[in-house]
Amino acid sequence: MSPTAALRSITLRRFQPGRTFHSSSRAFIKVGDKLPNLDLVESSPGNKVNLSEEIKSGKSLLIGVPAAFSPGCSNSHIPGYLKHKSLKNAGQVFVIAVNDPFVTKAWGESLDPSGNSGIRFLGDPTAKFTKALDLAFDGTAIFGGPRSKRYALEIEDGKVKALHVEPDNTGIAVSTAEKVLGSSDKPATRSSKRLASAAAKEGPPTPLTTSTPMDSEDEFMSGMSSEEDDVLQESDNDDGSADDFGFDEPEPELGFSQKDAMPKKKKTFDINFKVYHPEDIQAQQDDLIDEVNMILDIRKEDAAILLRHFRWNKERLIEDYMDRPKKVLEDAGLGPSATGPPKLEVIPGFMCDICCEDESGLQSFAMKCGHRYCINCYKHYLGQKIKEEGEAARIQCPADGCKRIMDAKSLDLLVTTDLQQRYHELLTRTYVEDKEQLKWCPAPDCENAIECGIKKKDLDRVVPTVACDCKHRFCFGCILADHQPAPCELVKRWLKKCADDSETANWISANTKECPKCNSTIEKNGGCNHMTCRKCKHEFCWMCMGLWSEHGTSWYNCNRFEEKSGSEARDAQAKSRVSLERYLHYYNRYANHEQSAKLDKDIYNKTEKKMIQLQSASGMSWIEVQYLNSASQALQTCRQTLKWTYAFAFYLARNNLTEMFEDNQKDLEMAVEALSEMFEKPVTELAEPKLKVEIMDKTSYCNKRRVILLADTADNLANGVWSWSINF
Amino acid sequence: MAFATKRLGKELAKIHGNLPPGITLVTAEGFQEWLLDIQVLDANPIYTGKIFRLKFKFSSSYPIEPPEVTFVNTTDRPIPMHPHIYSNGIICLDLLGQQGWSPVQNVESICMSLQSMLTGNTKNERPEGDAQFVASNRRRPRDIDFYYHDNTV
Repeated sequence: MSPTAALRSITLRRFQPGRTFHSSSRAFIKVGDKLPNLDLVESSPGNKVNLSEEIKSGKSLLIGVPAAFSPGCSNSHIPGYLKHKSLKNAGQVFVIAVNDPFVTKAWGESLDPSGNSGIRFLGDPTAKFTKALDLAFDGTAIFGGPRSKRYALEIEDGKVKALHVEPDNTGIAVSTAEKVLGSSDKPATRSSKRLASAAAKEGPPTPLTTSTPMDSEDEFMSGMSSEEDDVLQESDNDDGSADDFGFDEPEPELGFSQKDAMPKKKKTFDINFKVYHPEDIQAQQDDLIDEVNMILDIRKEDAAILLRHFRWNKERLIEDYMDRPKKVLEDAGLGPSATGPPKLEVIPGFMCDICCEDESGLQSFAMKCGHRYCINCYKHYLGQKIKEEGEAARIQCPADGCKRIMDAKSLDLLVTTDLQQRYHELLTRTYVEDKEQLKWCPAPDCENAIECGIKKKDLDRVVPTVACDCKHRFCFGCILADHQPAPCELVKRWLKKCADDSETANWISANTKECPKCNSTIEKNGGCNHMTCRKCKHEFCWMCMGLWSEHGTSWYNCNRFEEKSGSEARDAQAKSRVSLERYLHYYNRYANHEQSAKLDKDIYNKTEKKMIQLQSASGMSWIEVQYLNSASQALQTCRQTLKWTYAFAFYLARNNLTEMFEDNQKDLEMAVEALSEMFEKPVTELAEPKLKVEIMDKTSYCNKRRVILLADTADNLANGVWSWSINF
Repeated sequence: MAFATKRLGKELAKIHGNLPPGITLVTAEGFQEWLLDIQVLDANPIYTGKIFRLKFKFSSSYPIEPPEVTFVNTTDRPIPMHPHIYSNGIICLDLLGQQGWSPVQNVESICMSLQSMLTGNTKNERPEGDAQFVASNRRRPRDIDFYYHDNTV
């Protein structure tokens, strides 16, 4: 989010007027009625939502459903709204089910994982709200209790404007999106341009369903998105040119597409990136090859070789080729020669220059350069290159000094299937390795690549953390595991500092002194101040480093502290002692979190077991115990962040900003430790609803603190306002 | 080994009694290690009157992989002075590395290349950092990443 966009979200924030009270539930809801002043819940039991307050003004839409996760609701009813083109014109949209908030939250996340729609999913666990609308029916037979009819209420300025209630309680007829919002002639998907660009700039408007009472930033966001919708209503039909405030410049260089999994919340420290699976990478190459094949009218194999030769820089290839086609072909190993598809030949009187074989009927092959070798030698040669040397894109003709490159078609003719496979794998690898904005996910066995537009020169301003689909989070700049908030260069230094023995030298200088005469290093491990150097037998005072004989009769009680010879030694020692202590302070905390993060891995594994135990112990459903999973994940990410805050702080110069940073760090640390403690409790205690709520609250609090810390740090980094204790 | 053996057998048959001047086969027992002597024929003051011994070691993937070629030091066979030859006999020549090697090269052509490498040399010196390299190197020549930067000698 750019600073301007942030400002905008603040100015658009909805200020709620003070509460007004009116009489509670009324008998039947009809057009013109106000909503009952009753609480619904969202995400967690503690997070009450009062719709009579919430939608006092403006347009909104309430959709009642019989049950979350029921087939009718999940497959057609709500998705119909999610996909509807005019959803954005409907104002705030709420889906209400007679379910507990954990269920509605999970349901909302399953229907609208990105939260892009802005629809909020509310629970009415006791059916009080639904009953007050007189829209409840007895669902005991199917659902085991009273449930809500399927309905849609159009609300304007807190009053019912229109009612659409299914006559048979649960059918899907009058309350569908088509009926309520009007039939949409072109069914718009969520990938409308406006939404995409808005998401790119500001992140998806996250509904409150995915957050907690404390998540005020998201409150801004959801408030903002609905306000924005109001503003945009008129311009919405022109395919949402979306240039609402002039913030939505396209960002082509990042190749952003809203189709891929957007991070749920867009933070200032989040960067745009895209995950590619092996088949995507292949498709991209094929596209480029096809394009060059068409533009330059050359064979696909040649196009592929040329592209690899130009490291997939299509523009440069086409430009150069237009200028000097012969030279380009020559350089890429595609020099002129006879045409025709590659084939094996038997040539009478042929002798292979590699194996010196000349028996008749020997099959041989030559690329366009005409260097001919027997098929066995080719097999050996290509096998060696592919298997042992891992080469693919730049395998040259075996002839000495011939630069012709083996193309994929010829290769397929010559080697066995397993080698072909390996060859194509390696070819794909070169594509990723050749492109600056592509990098492999470093996680073991992960075959995905990440695209990110962050350049090397930006690395002192941003910490480009990306998350692969395999869940591995790493820094795009240096491929190390996620090290927010510390920038790459600092991380490099810190790791080096921790790894080398510069600190051993520091320890020595902090804890030892040198004999004033022979400079042997001496550690005083006890005893009095009268030192006698073992090497040179020099006698001196440990306190003042002066000659012992000068102490006269004041032995064992050094009162010669002002002596100059001694004070210099003491100064140097004090300095390195302070420096060592400072390093150890940060290092211990860094190492502690690193250690804890490792333990968290175990905890994560235990979590699964715990969740199963909890299900049988408390009768909770799988969805209802998911909070433990999110708590565990929060712990891990927060610890990872905390760990690097210490390396970061070590290099900070002392000033106000640093103090603010340390306060944030302290808050996060306290939150993490508190959550960690709760998390360790036995299953019987975890089953208590009170603790569950506490854990959920703490989890989101931890996440929140982490976001605050990272956002703050990233902003300062981007603006270059940190001052460092070192130069880099 | 069959592949390498066959080719080496053919090479040996061709070499016997038919080597260019200045190159002589010392031993070729089996197909794993051969010894050859080379001499510089023209009047290069650095090498006049001296004979150098080369040791060839072949792997089973010869000639797809290059052989390992080093100079050996015996009483009457010194290591030639050359800015690309270390005093332990290891030769820094792109021809002998994965990148520069071509399977159409053979023992004879390597000997001739080395012969001409010596012939053209005017510097009576060892490579930079020779002492350190010789003292610390425990790797086989094929595992060393030479950086073939200097094409002047």
